[in-house]
Amino acid sequence: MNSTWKLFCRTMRVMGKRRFLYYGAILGMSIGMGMFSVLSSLMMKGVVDISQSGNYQRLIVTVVWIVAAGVVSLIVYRRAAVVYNVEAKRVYGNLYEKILNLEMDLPYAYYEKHHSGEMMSKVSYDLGRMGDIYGSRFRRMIMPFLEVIVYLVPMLVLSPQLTLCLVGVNVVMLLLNMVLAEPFRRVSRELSGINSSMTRKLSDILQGMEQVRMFAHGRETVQEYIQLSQKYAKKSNRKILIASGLESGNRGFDLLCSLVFLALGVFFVQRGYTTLGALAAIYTLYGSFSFQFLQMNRYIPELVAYLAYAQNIFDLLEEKREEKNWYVQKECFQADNDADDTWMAAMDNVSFSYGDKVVLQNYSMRVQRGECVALTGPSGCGKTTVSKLLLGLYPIDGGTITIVGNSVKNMSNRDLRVFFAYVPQEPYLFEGSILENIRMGRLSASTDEIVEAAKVANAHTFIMNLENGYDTPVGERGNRLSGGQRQRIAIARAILKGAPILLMDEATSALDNESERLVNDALRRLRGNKTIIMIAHRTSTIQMADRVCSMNTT
Amino acid sequence: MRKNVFLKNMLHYWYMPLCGILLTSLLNFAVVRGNEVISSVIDQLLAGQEIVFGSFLGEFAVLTVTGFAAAFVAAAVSGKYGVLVSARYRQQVIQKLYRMEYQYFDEHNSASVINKVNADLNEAERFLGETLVMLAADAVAVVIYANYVRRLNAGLFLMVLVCYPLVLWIANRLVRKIHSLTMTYREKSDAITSIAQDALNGIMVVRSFGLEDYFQDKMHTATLALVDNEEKRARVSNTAVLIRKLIQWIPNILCAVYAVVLVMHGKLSVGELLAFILVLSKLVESFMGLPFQMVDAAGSIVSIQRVEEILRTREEGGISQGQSVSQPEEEIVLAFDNLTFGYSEAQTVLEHAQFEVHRGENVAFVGESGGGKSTIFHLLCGFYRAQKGTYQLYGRDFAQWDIDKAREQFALVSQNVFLFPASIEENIRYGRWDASGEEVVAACKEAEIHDFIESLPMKYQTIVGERGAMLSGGQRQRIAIARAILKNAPILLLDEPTSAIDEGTEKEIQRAIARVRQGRTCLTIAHRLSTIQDADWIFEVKNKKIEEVGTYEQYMETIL
Repeated sequence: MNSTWKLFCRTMRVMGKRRFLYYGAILGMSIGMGMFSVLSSLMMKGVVDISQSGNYQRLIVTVVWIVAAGVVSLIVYRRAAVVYNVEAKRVYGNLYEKILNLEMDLPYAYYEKHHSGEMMSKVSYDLGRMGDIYGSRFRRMIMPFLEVIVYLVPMLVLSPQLTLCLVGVNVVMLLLNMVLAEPFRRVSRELSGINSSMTRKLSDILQGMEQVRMFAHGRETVQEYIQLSQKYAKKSNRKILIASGLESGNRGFDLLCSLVFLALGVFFVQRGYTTLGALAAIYTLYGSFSFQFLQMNRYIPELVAYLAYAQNIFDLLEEKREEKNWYVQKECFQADNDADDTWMAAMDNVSFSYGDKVVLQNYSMRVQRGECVALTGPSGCGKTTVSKLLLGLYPIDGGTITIVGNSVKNMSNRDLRVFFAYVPQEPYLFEGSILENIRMGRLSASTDEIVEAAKVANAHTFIMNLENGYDTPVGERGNRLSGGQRQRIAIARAILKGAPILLMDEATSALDNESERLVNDALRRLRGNKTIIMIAHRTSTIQMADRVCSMNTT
Repeated sequence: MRKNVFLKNMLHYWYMPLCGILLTSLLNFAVVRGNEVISSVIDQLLAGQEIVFGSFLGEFAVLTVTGFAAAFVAAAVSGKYGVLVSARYRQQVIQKLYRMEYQYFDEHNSASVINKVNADLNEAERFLGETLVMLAADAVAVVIYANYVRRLNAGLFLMVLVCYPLVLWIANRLVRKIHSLTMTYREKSDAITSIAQDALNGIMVVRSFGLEDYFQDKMHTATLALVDNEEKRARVSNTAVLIRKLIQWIPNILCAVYAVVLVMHGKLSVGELLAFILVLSKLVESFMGLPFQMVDAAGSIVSIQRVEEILRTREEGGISQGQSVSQPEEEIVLAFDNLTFGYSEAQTVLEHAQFEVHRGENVAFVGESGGGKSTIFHLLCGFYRAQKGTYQLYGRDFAQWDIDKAREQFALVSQNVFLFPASIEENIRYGRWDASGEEVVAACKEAEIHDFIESLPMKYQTIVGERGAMLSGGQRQRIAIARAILKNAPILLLDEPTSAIDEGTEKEIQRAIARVRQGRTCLTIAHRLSTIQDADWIFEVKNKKIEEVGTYEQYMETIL
């Protein structure tokens, strides 16, 4: 109970200061809508009072005033509803921003453990439900309470005695509802159990119709379904009885209220405790009042259930994030210009293991400026790990890595990644146009620079042959383009980045010969200007390298 | 008019809804009667007369008790009615499904379509149990309260009768207009979801290109756009709420003012005015509910009509001729004579097909896939009716067989074996439900599947099928063979799986089949040469014909 309350508070605190605006909006909606009903019944009071007193001149004035007040209360409602909806959406959007922020910061190891598709569908599910708390669940739970208060105040003013009688009757009804609710739920659960076995049986029969007809037992299977259906009908009796009890309770009390209320009302009027007009007003309000009163406890369990989704999101947001720097906390990185930069990238005695599995042990590799180095070896020997370590996706256990003469231990991960233009095995293209995708290499690049990069990457020609040229949307995950085309766009993106080291992770392994040739042509153009490290296993690719580093499994 | 089974069922228990409606009327009359009493009491009060409460409290007590009882019985009767009618309906539907022409299942074989039957049946039940009850209750209430108003004052009655429908209509028109505006600002959160998804899928690129800030900016912009869109949407949709509420208020005000005018002219007493106001709120409540329930009902009726269509389809022929054929002695077991069949008139699968199978023969069917080989098996089992020509089983026209008896002659092992989501034992026992445990095991041993079943942790109790353990095609096939063995039918129809099965498994299946064939007439749809080798006789299904090819050697000559 206490923890649920804490979780609830935490969920609401996500909105920050704006939550007070949000609460205010819900209050405004309750008052606006509640007042409108109150005014409707005050109209009835006015009508009765006027007919009783014969003071007909007041009719127009009364009606005009009440209508004006009604319009005002509806305007209040509308304004509050708009604020409410906007705030609910805002917090939903902000939560998504937080989730994206988390995605950006999660250590890479997390992604290797979790399937990204599954993770995202779970997140959007949980987040959607959590958004529903702000967007509907909480309001649905709280508004009956607020509206009941809004109705109670004028009712009490009009006639405290009558109102208290009505509240008493409603409490009895609420209790009756609560008492019958549990057995009703139980019977319903049982019935829905039978119903789903009925559904399953029917599916079986329909899908296995061939067998059902070919075997003598099929007829019995059909009989079993009929028996289930009869059992269901029989079991329904109990549900019908309880439902009828609830129904007659509600309707009967409704009747009882009407009659007792009227009898009492007349009695009170006779004694002068109240007026006929008040009687009419309370009676017309009573319907809305009673409806909201019985809703009071209804939506609490739903809200509690939904809080579990919020808990999931909170848990996720508390995942450990990637360190900005694996090794030391350094505020700002200044490239050491005097550093010895003959070696663009150097790994010296590097050791690394995934958990217990040692992947690299005392591994050394050096790449000179302008060199094109191919990294080969059997699968599982740690080639891809080398590229991940260079990109700072994991911290190394021992040894040193220096990039352009600077030890990675002095750099933040982002600083380190500035030195690399990376082309993965499976080129990922983001939703958007080709132009946007290439521009992601360097966001400040001009269109000319983008076209230039595409030309170097052997991508310009095919892009221009597309109907919309550079503005062609790449489609979800780039599936409107062939693998070779996507890879060349990814290379253009990497070229545009202008980083000194081009790191290619089996970039051509999934391509057909023609596409590979085009990609290799592009690489040839880059040779000399850029330092290229490529993880490769195709001879055609390896042939281009100045030097080949072979790796063995450790 | 086509007969409607659902409607017939509804009328079958006609007395129940009648009873429900009468009781609901009684309940409403009680309210009206109470109001009448009160209105006259109030008039007495206003006239300055002394009121004797005892005079009407007794009547009130009676009314209340009557109301309680009426409400209870009405609810119980209508609930019971719904349950009875839908149980009856379910029974009719399932029996129909068992008997209807098999073609339906070919045309609707995807599981989702088939499961629609389920959903439709549940919808029909909901219609009876909820929508119909509410609809009737509201309609009864509207009629009785409106009638009460008519008795109070004809002018008021007219006012209510004209004002409310008219205003409701106008309000709906307006709101619909506004809603079409809202459509431009439909709730959208896809954009932010897809950005988060996109960034996650391309996380490696995001990291290595330092695009973190870029995506966060993009997300922030999308959030702002979302909020902005929501503001516009909420404005429009809540304006619609405001306008609807205001318009719906108009008839209330008009009726009230008109009532006052009537009182002013002495046409209505103050007591009656009060009674009118009290009844008006009830009347309006029921009245507003009607359109919603009608929309619900319309939805349910669509579902019911779909089920009705099933109930109207043709049934399989030759049912319950009652002729038992214990041990047919005929030499020619199966014969097609000049048989033509197609799923529709235009598209024939077989034309003038002709073939005979003698007792104890082992024949194989070869031919291109989709050429109609499986259709032949289904024709043999009576799933389809030939358009022209005859099909004789044991020398007697199939149409004259009791279809269940005819099917007892066949053991069919289909290409894609369907296993019920139940235990392996139950699935095998399906062949003969009263078989003993030993018989089941013996059948499995013969089908060479026993060892595999024993290797499962739950053995024969392992749940298979949709939600159960995944079995390979070869394992399913052998379970089906065990089932066929248990059935012990004189004719075996075997549709070999096309998919490749590893060699070891294939050998096991071959051995199993060879054993089952003993003493039976066997027809095989063959995809493997090894199967054809054993055949006494080969038929090729080609160009909608069944051609006799001859023995294996003769067949090999034709294809070489």
